[in-house]
Amino acid sequence: MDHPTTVKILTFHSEKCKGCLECEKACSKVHFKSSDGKEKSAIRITKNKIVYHMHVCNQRGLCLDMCPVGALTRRKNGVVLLDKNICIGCQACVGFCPIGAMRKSDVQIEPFKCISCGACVRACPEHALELTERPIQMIKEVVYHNYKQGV
Amino acid sequence: MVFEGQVPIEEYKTGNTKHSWDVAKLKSAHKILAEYSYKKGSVERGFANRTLYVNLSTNTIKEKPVTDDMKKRFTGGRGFGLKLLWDSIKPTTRWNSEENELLITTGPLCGTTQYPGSGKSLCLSISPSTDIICDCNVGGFFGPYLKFAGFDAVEIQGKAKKDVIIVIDGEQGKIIIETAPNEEINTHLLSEQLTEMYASEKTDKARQKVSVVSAGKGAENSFWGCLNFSFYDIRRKVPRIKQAGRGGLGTVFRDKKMNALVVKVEKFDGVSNHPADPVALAEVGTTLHKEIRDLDRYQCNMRAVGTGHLVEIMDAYDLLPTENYRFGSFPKASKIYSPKFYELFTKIIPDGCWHGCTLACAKTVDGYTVMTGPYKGEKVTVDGPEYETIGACSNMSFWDPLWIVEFNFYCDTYGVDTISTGTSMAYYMEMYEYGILNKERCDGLELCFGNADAVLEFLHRIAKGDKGEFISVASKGVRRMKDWIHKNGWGDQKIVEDAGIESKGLEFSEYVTKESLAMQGGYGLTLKGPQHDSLQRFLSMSIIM
Repeated sequence: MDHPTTVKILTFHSEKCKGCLECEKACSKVHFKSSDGKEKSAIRITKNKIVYHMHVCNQRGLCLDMCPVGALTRRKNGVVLLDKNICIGCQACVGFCPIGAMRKSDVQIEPFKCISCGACVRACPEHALELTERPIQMIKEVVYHNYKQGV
Repeated sequence: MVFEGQVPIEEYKTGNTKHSWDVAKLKSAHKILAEYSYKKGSVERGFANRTLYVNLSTNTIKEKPVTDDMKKRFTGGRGFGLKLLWDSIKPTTRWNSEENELLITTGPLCGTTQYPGSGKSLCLSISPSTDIICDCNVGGFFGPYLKFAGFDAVEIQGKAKKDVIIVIDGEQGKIIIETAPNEEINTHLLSEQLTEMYASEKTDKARQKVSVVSAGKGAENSFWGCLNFSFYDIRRKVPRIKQAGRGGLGTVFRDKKMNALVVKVEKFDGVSNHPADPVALAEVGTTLHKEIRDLDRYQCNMRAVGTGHLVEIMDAYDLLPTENYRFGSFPKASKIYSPKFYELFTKIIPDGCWHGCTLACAKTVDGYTVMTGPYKGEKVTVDGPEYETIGACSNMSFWDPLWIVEFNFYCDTYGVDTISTGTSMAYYMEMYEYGILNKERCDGLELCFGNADAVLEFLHRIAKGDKGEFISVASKGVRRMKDWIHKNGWGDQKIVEDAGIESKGLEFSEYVTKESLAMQGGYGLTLKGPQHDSLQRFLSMSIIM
């Protein structure tokens, strides 16, 4: 089987961000058909004093090994995808994600995550978001516990 | 180095010997003895609100309601089990009586996927070892699937004339009792056959929706029978097993001529047992997952080595049973510390025995080459060893992890309890060392401490149904062996009595009790016999007092 070698992940140019949160709204439209943003969005923008930060999945795929039923798979384009029909809502991936990028909304038991669809990139009026192609091997070389928790 | 998430599920390899069964042919030999259709219901706040009753003597199948009063009084699990058993048996009922029941019950939390440890079910019956009610809790998929198929408990009464399988088909809403003339008896093969046979499709996802309860040949011929609860692993592509070990429940199972109990579900999700507040449950569960992620590696290391981490702790505190509880630690014990087993365990695969249990204490050795007996040379997946099994082996003075795995494999597949077997063998070995037993009295077995070959040979003989006098007494445990030695007038009566570590007829589990009076009292006073899960209540009581 051919394994994907690269994946598109989101890159954030924090200096351009104005904090309008259009990206969150666009994301929650993709996942929940609502423009609430916040807890219904896979991408989250927070402000730390003066600098904006982005919290989103880096497609590293640690969660793939957590899933007991195989609902999480790496697709041909390298993106890690959760199949809601297979998911049994155990939240193991949510709890074990080192960067807190696997998210859970109160409206459904199954978690959701960034699928690199680019909706947020298109929604950003400041062009602060960008989808860049990265080798998967490089993403994987992340030290497990040096990560800070996400939101 | 292998990074996480690098190997897609389909590409995991165990290296096990592949079996191919002609499942259709096996199934065509089945004869349906009874069939019962039921209306599929839903689980409400953790209760399916009915239990299933099967009588194998009369081939009756019926539903019993679960009343609000029953829920209030007995909660579920062991409570339900004791109530149902109380209603069905008489003071004269013994383990092999017609009216003795085997129960598998679940509690309201059973089947929760968000909270680690929620896949447990309780098994109850009158034990052949103690002649009193014994209960065991066990993981695996059976309990949750029983609930999702529509029942809080299943009770099996009576005895079949020939080997039978009971199928609880949650997909079609049917209970079927059918004969199983050509199936294997030993678990590692039987659960493979039946998982394949009853899965609705030939896919791993469909196989994962089937769970099989079985016991093996050893359960039939000893008082140490355990129940093996299967759970299909989509990565290893084998049904793995967890055991309800203590008290000889597998012996009762085989005495009823049960070959297997199969349950199948149509579908389930994270809220299948309909909790009152799923949002709060998911939050609490996620918090626990996070704590396990951050802390387990510094505390118990359960995710890496399971309960095996206890070996070094017990050894350090002088509690690791060695040579029939004569010592609490041993110079060679470092050979069986958890890092040694970590080398053998297959890594980077989630091991939980129920979906979402991230503590994942169930470990496996994949592609293990069997060294003795009828399956010699085959490569198999061995579940475990867990602490009790390692403790049982140190009790017999086995200091080679591979022999411990071998002992574990055969105990599991023959359906005998590793704890009772280990403790009993350790006692026979001590008697052998004192000359009270010898090669002639032991039917040619040289039972010196550490002789793993002889122990495995003993297990194979039990499984073959050897009728030798020693084998048939020894396979019934320490109590019967003491009586047999007394009857023959061998050795000093006090030594014979004191060296055999049992109470009420059940062998002690693998902790040396000398360090704690509460533990000694606990083992002696537990209702079902000396077992650590009942003991904990006494320990906590001693802390309060």
